[in-house]
Amino acid sequence: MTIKRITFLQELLGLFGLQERVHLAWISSAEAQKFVEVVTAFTEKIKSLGPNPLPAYRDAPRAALAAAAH
Amino acid sequence: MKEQIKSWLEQGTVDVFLGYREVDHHPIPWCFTQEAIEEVDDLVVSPARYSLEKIATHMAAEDPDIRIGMLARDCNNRALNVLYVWNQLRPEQVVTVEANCCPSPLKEHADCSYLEPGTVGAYKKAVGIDNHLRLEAVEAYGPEEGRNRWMYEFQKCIKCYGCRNICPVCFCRECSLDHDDLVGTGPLLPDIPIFHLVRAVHMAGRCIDCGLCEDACPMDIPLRLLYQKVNRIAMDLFDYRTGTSGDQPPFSILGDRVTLEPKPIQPVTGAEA
Amino acid sequence: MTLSEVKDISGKEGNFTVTVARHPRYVDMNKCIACGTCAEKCPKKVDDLYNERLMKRKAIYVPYSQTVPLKYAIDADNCIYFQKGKCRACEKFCPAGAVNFDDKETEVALKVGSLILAPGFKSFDPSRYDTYAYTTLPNVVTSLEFERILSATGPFMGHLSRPSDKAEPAKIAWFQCVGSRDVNRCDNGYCSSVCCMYAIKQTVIAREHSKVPLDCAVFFMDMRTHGKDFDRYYEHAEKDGVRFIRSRAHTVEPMPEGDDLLVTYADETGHLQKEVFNMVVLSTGLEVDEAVVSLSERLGIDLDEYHFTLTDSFHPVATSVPGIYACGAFTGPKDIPQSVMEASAAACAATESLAPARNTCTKELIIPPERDVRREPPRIGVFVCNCGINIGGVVRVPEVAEFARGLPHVVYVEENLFTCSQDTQDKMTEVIKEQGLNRVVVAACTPRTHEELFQETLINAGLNKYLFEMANIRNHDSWVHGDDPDAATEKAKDLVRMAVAKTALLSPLQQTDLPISQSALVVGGGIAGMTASLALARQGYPVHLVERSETLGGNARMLNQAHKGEPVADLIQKLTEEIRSEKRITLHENSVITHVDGFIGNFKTEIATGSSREIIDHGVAILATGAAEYKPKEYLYGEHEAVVTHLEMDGLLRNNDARIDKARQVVFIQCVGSRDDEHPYCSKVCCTHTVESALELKKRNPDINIVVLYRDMRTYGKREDLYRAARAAGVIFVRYSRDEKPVVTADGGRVDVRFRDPILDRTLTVQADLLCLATAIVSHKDETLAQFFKVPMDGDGWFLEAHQKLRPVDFANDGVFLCGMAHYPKPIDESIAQAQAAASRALTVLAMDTIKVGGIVSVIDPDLCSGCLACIQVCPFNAISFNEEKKVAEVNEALCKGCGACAATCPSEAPVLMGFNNTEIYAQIRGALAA
Repeated sequence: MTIKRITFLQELLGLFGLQERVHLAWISSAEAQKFVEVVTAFTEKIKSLGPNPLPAYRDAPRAALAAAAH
Repeated sequence: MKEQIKSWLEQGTVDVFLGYREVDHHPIPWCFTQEAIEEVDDLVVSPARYSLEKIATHMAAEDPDIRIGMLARDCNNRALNVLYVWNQLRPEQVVTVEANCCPSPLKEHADCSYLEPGTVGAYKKAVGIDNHLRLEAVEAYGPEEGRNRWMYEFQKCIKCYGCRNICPVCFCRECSLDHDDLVGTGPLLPDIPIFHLVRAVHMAGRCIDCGLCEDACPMDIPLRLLYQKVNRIAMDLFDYRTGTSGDQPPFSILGDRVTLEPKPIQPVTGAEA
Repeated sequence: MTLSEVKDISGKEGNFTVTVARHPRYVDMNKCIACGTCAEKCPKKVDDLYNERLMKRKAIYVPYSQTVPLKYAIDADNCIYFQKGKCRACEKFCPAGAVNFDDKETEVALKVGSLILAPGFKSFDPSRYDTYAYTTLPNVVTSLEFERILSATGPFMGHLSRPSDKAEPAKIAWFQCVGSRDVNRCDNGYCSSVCCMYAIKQTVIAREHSKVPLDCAVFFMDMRTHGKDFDRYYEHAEKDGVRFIRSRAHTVEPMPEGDDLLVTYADETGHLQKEVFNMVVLSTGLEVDEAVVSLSERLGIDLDEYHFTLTDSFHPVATSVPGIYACGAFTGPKDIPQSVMEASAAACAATESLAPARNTCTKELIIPPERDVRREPPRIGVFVCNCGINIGGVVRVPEVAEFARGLPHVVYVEENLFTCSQDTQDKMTEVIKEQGLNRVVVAACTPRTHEELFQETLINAGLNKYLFEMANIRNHDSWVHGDDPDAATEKAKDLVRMAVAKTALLSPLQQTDLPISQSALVVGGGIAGMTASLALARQGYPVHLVERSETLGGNARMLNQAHKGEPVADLIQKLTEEIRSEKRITLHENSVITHVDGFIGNFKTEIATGSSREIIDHGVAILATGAAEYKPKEYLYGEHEAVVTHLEMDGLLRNNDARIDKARQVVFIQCVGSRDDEHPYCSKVCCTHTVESALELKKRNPDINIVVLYRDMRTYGKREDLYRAARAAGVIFVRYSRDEKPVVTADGGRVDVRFRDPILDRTLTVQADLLCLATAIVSHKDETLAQFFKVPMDGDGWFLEAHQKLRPVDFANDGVFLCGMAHYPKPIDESIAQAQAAASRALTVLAMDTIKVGGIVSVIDPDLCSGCLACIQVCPFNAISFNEEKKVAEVNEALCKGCGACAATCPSEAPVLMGFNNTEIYAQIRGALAA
C-alpha cells in the first residue's frame, strides 16, 4: 500500500513539477549499506534540484508570475 | 412530477421534499412540507443547482429518522452515494425524483448545459488554467509551466471557504482547512498551495465532480480539474470509483481495509503495482 | 544463559538438578554497549561460521547483527592474546572497560522441575557425495551457503554472485534430497521436510536479486510442498518459469574451460541428459548433531535410528525420560511454524506438573506513588549521553548540552559518560526529585533498547513513565556522520530541539488494570479440542468445552492408527474418559455457540444446547473446530461399490470386512479433491495414510497386488520409512499428472482403472477389486464462528493465524487461539502439538490476574467525530465500534494497539493517538525545521 500512497503524493506534486522530490525505497533493517546509498543519492539529488520553488510564489507579485508564464 | 411529490408528502412517504421553488422568478432551494403542500405547485426544474443533499445531511444529523425526498440529478445521486458510504445518510431514508444532468468524466454523454464551456478570458488562458480544459491537457504541462499556471490560480484565492461550504460531500464537524497547524487560519493570502492541496487530498474518493465549488469560487480557480486529478489517482491506484455505489467502504488513503493477515505467500516479481 | 552447556543432570521429574558450564565470554555483559570498537580494532581475522566461512569476522565478535544478547564475545581459540600472549587491543580501545581477560569458566547448578531440549539441527555435510564434488568445485554450494549469498548481510551484500569468480550466474541448478531419503550414501532414510520449500524460495528470491533473467532448475524426486499455502507458492514459481525436473541428478563435473559445471542426470524416461550450469546448490538435509547425541546419552534419552527423539504420536513433545521434553528439529525434521508450535507445546507440557508451584518464587514490585504534574508548567531535564566515545567521539556533547540549556522549559541539563549505567540511573532519580523535574529527555541511543530502562527510572522517581522522550543522537547521528563532527553536532542539536518541543506538550497517560476472567472456552471436541481442554484444566483453569455433536473424538473416530502405528481408538477413549472425570472441565455436548461479546480477558459467550441457552464468562477462547472429508464426485464414487474413500477403507479394515479378504487387486488414487482448482492445496495426510493402508493390506495378505497412483509422494519426515517399507513389500507406485488423471470405468463387481505409466511410457489398465480414493480434507468454512470471534479465514476456509511462521496458533484478535485441522489439514501428532501450543499461548493470558489497558492508545473526540466509519474500516484490531446512540466511533482501549491508522485516516483528526497527538507531532516537526 505504501507504494500507492507515495504514488498518490508524487502524482499530486507532479502538477507543480515536484514529483522528483519524493522517493520511495524498501530497505530492511539488515541493509545498512543500501540505506546509506539511497539516502546519500537522494540527498544529492535534492541538493541539485535546489530549494523548493513554491514559497517564492506566495510572496511574488502576480505580475512577475504572469511575466514568467509568458 | 408535482403530483408524485404531493402524494409522497400527503401519504407520509417522506417528511420533507427538497427541490427548488420559483420565488420572484428566481429558483430558490426549498424545503416542501405537508403543511404547505400548495408550494409544490411552484416547484421548478431548471439548470439552477444547489447541494440539496447537504441540507439533507444537516436534517438527518438533527433527526436521524427523518425521511427525505429530493430532486436529484446524476451528480446529486453520486453525492448521495458518497454520503451513504460515509454514513451521513441512510439509503432507506432518501427517495429521489430524477432530473437531467451534467457532463462529467464520471457521467459521459449527459445533456446538462450548465457546465458548458463559457467565458474564459484570453489572459487566464495564457497564464492560468482554462477551467474547461480536459485533465489530460493540464497534466501535459511541463513542470515549470504547470507550476506557474497552478500557482497563478491559487494566488488569486481569497480564502472565502466557498468551495468547502457549498460542497455536498463536505460534512466533517471539524474541517482541516480551519486547522491552524495545517494551513494557518489567519493571513490572506492563504498558505498556497497547501490550502488547496489539503482540500484536494480530502476530496480523493469523495468529490463527485458536480462543479459547485468552481461555480461558487469568486476567483474562478479551476477546482474541478484539481479534484478530478485526485479522483483519477483514487481510481488508477486504488481502483476506487467515487460515488458509483453506496455499498463500497469509505475511501482511505491507507488503502483497502487494513488487515494484519499475512497475504498468501506469493513470489513477488518487481514492484507491486 | 548464553555460551553455556549442560554438563550433567540428576534427580527426577519435579526435582532436577542441572549442572551448567558457563564458558567465559571475556566481555562483561553489563558493561558492553555493543559499539563495535573492539571488533574494529581487533587485528585477527577468523572464518565467519555464521556466513558459512564465505567471509571473515574478527576474534572478538557478535555472531550476527541481530544477536541476542547483543554483546561481544572473544573467541579464545583464535584470539592473539590467548594464543600468543600479547595484543589486548580490544581491552585498550573498549570505551566501557568491558573486556575482561581474566574471565573463567564457571559451573552453575540449577534446580528445576522439568527440562525442555531444543538443540536444533545440523545441516548435512555433502562432502561424502563425491560425484557432486562439493569439496573441489567452489561453485557447488550448500543451501545454507546460498542463503548467505542471497543475504544483504552476507559475503556479497545480497548481490547474486558465485564464489569462484564473483560472476553473476545466469543458470543455477538445485539438487534436492542431499542427505535425505538416502540410505546408500548416508544413513538418513527420512525426508528432511523443509528442503523442497526452501529450494523454491531460493529460486524465487534469486530471480528477484538477479539482474538478468535467471534460469533456475530444481532437480527433485517428489515435490513436497505440503504446508499451508505452500502448493500455491510452488505453482506460482513454476508458472513464473522455474524449471522443475523430476530426476535425481547424479554427477557434477567441471567444464574444461572456465568455472561452469556440467550436470548429468537421467530423465524420467531413463535417457541420460547433460546440461551446463553456472552454479549448483545442494539442498542439504537436516540431521542431529553428534554433540546432541552425546547430550542425550548423558540425560538418558532414547533416540531413534536417525538420532531424533523417540516419541509417540500422541505425546509429540515428550521424551523417554519423564520431565524432559523436546521440541523443534530434535524430535524430527520440521519447518518454522511446526517448530514454533512444538516449542509452545513443550512449554505447556513441561509446566503441567509444575502448575501448583506457579507464582511461588515471585517478588512484588514496590512502586512509589505518582506525582500529579498536570498543573505544573513543564520543567524538563535533558540528559546528554557520550556513550563512551560512541557519541562523544563525534558529536561535541558539551556544545549540545549547552544548547539544550537554552531551549524553552529546560531547567536542568547534564552530560553523562553512560546515561544508561546504574549509577547514572540512581542519580537521575535524585535529580528528578531535587530539581522538581516533570519531564525528561535523554539524548542517547535508541528507544528500542533503552526506553524501558529510563521509563523505569521515571517511575522510581514518582513520575508518569510517558513523560519521557529519547533523542537518538547515536544510531541516527554519530554512527552515520562519523566523518563530519560539525554536521553531526548540529544534527544532535536539531534532534534535541525536536525532542524537547514534543516533551513540553506531553501529558501523563494512564494504564488501568482490567481483571481477567480466568477460564477458557474450547470450541470443538475432536482430538485437538480435547487435548487443549485437558492441558488447560491440568494447569488449574476451568474450561468449557463445546462440541456440536453428541460424541467426542471428531474425525479421529474414523481413523485406525497414527503413522507410528499407535491405535487411535485407544487415544480417543482415554481422552474422553479424562475429559469426563476432570472436574474443571464443563462439557457442553450437542451444543453450538450463538453469540459472542467482549474481548481478551472478558468474553461473554452464549451457548445453545437444544432449546436452552447459557451465557458463560471466559478470558480466552480456543477454536478447534476441525475439518471434513471431501466427498468425491469423480472416479465413480457413490456409483460403484468397489470405490471407497480412505476413511471408509479404514472402516473396512477395522471391521475385517469380507471384501478385504477377497480382494486380489487394490488401487489407490492420491490427491482426489486436493491440489486441484477447487482445493488448490495439499491435504498433507493422504500419502502417509495410503501407505499405511497399503502396508496393512499387505500384512493381511502378502499376495495382494497394490497400485498407488500418485502425483508426488509426500511422506515427509520419518514417514518416509513407511513409503520405503511399502515399496519393499511390493506395492507399486505409479505417478500421474494433473493433466492426465486416471480413468475409472465399471467392470461388473470390479472397476477398471486406466492410467499412463510415465516410466514405461504407455497406458495400462488394472482391474481393481477395491479402489481407494485418498480424498481431500476440506474446511467447514464456518463464517459465523469467524465473525463471532472476529478472526479471519483464508480463501480455502482455513482460519488464518496472526503470522504463518512466528505466531502459528494466535489470531490477530488477542485472546483467541487456534489448533487442529481448523487451521489446516494435519496428522494427529501435529494436531496434538498444536493443541498443546494453543493451550500454552492461552495460559499466558490466564496466568495474569489483570491486563493493562490504555497508555499509548487512540481516543476519539466525540465532538469532532462525524460518524463516517472510515476509522472502523482501517482498524486492523477491530478495536473501534460505532455508538449508534451517540452516532460516534469509540475505541476499546483493551483492543487498541496504538498503531495510529485511525488518526491517519480520519478527515477531521478526531482520533487522538495518546503520546503521539497532533500538537506533539507538529511541535516536533517545527522543532526539526527551526534550525
